[in-house]
Amino acid sequence: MDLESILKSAILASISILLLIVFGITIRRILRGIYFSRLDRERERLKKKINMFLEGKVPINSTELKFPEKSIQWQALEDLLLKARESASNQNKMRITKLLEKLGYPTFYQRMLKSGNRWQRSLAADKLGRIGSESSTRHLLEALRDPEIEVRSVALRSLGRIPDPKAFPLLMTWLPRITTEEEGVFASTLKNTLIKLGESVVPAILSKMDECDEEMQALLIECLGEIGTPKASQALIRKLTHPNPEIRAKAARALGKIGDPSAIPSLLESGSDPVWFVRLQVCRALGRMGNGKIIDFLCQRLTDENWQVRAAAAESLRQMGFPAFSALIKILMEGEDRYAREQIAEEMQRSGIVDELIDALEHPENEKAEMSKQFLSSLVKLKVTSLMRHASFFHPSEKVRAEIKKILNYLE
Amino acid sequence: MDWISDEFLISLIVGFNYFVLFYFAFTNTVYLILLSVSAKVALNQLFRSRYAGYQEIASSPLTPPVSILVPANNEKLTIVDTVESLLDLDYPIHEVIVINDGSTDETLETLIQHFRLRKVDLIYRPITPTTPVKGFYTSPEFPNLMVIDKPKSGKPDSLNVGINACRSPYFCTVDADTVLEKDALLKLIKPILEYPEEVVSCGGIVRVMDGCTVEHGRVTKIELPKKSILMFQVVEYLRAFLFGRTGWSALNCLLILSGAFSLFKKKIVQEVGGYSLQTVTEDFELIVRLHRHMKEKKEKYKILFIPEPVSWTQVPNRYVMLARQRRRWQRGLATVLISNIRMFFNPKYGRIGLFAMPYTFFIELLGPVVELLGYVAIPLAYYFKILNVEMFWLFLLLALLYGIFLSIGAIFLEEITYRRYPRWTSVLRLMLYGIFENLGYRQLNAWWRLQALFQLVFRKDSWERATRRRFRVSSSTQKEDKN
Repeated sequence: MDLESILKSAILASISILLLIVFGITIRRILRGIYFSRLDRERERLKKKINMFLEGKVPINSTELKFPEKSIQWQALEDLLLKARESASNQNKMRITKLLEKLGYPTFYQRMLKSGNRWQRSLAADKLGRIGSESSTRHLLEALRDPEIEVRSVALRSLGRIPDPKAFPLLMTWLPRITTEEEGVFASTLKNTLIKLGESVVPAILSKMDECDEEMQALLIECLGEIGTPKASQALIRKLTHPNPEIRAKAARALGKIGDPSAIPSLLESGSDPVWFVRLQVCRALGRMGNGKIIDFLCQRLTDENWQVRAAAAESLRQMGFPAFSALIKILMEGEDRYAREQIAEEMQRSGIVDELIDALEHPENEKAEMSKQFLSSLVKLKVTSLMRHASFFHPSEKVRAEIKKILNYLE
Repeated sequence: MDWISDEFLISLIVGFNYFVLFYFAFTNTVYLILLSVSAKVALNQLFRSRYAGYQEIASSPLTPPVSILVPANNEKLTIVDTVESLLDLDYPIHEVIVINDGSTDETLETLIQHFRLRKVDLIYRPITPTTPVKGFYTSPEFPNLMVIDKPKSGKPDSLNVGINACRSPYFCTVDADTVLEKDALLKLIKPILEYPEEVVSCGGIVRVMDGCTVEHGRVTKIELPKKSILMFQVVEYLRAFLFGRTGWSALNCLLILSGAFSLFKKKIVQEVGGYSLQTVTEDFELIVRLHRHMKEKKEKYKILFIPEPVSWTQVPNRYVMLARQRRRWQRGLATVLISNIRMFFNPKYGRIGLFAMPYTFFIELLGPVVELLGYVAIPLAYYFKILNVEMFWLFLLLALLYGIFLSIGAIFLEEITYRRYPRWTSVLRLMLYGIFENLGYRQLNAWWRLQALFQLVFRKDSWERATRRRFRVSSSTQKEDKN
């Protein structure tokens, strides 16, 4: 074959492919147009019936809504019911699930979970989760053994959507070996699923946690923190002394999220942990707990060698509000660490607390007005004056404007 | 000059012709591979989108916070729309940081007035060294918005300021003339949630906004622009993103993510020293440096492009501006490739060093030079009577058809996957421009790229800036604004 005939063949092939593409686009557009206009019509027609059903006017065993599988009406009905289920009350959610069960949707998708096509299996797993029928739990648990990570991941996510207590023990038997998965996809889905399952899964997590490897332990600790039940506090307190600093930090963070005051003494002990990010999580945790006893500890951490720990301590103190302000004023006025002082000043400005303090200059309670004055004066010493300068011109209260001018003039 | 005999010239021309044939075959084979890979990836994405679970991401407490960095220099006309669209994104925790890069058109004043911002005294920690910051502006009404004012020092430096000031583990760069779709960030974070350790950066698609209607910083009606210069760019963007970047990303050889809409792991970017100030294509330079850094550290990593998250941006609407933009891109390409020449054919850098970098150098950078030499060689071949005219026309026709095939292929990908242009007339116009762009526009582009190489050689590499236009807003919005 010479070059000329190669070129000619290539030209012919290019023209054919181009025509094929144009033809393909046209046919596809026409077919999709027909399909979607029919689907829209069916949706519109069925919408009234669905509304009547949700209002309790159509009985649940109605045969009016029974359509052949995969038909356009069947598709339209599924779309409408699943959409309605997303925003429905719990009672209506259950009614929709029951209706979908009666109409055979879960059985259809349970069958689809055995399809040879991974996209179909993933889609089926997703639909089963959205339908929320407990009859699908077993099938979804089986899908966790699917060779495709995609299918396993969607199945796991769907299990989180069906809070079926029967699923927990079986799901927990999977835990120690999930970490051997190469992909992180599964781990992140697992976290979300366990958090969605909520408090009911906590006993099962606690019984399995110590058997898991460190990576999985860290993941479970995070979940316990997000679930936020005090039932997990003791187990988490024990993890504060774990040899792995990652686990200690996660345990401190989780304890902060749970907010159980019984954890404060142990957290205070961990406040001098040799690893900085454990100390950082301890500061944040104690800040979240908002207990007056820990103000001194957080003030000490404002001079931590690591700036991120100092920032976390300042942020925690800010979150605690007025009870912490007097301690903060003391640091702002007497503290030797300029960095810590600046850190507090920054947090106060960003969060709008400086604005609150400016407004409080005309507070009917003298004590609060005085505290505000002291605080603002200490900010002027740090040359943090922009917000005050702005307020000295634009604050609606003349009294406040005058007070601020006094503070600015007096100290500058 | 006896040695330049006719025989020598003839052998040179014949040799060059064979080289061109090989060059053409190689380039187009790579394009074909990219198109096939992209088609597969796009279809996979399409199937996945049916069960993507974005709502789970939106409601999950584990979704990481993201800082959106918007460098702005004289963006008064578009900045409010852009910031509004960013503040209103469907994402659990995000902050928007606008870095005003010494604007002289009241960009800062517009922001202060619209968002009722006030100057605050914050601490600035220049972990990556930058020019000093003039001021920080925040408002308790918009707690997740901060504006940083600084003297003019360029986009890369502004981005470095933003990186230093942001408080999230991930940051997303967005151009000031770009608006994001409401769920764009949610879609962009998905690969990071799936592979949190490995993904160091990912980018979404950038589409041409001209012609579309924008209301309150959101594209509400998608239409194609009327001007041909804009239409050419619509087709070009579809081709570059839908099959170019998708394909390179699937091969883990992606060398560029658009600065208009990309997400980065802050820690890694700080490790490599932030954006470089020595280039005019800082987005490309950073991605190459990230590759180099990760390969040298011998760590597993991913730099991904995903076509689902959508951003809409303005493109140049005059040929003078377009030419400037393309010359700038080409100069940036050249400087980055030359400064990383040690990566070429170096097995230490894997596919990036062995394939992606040399390919970009020989095909993307030197493509216009080969084209120019072709224009010289053809008359010479004709003069020496060694040009087979029939073969020449056949070859030219094939080259044109192949170019058209690639453009139409990208439109086909768009049509079977994302289908943002639902009107029949739109798809027809896209196809027509897919054909016409090969008859003049592409050659014009090659000429600009060639000019850029000359500018680089003769050191005429001044910054060539684009001018901004107000987004096209719907009449209802205009009425509201007037009221």
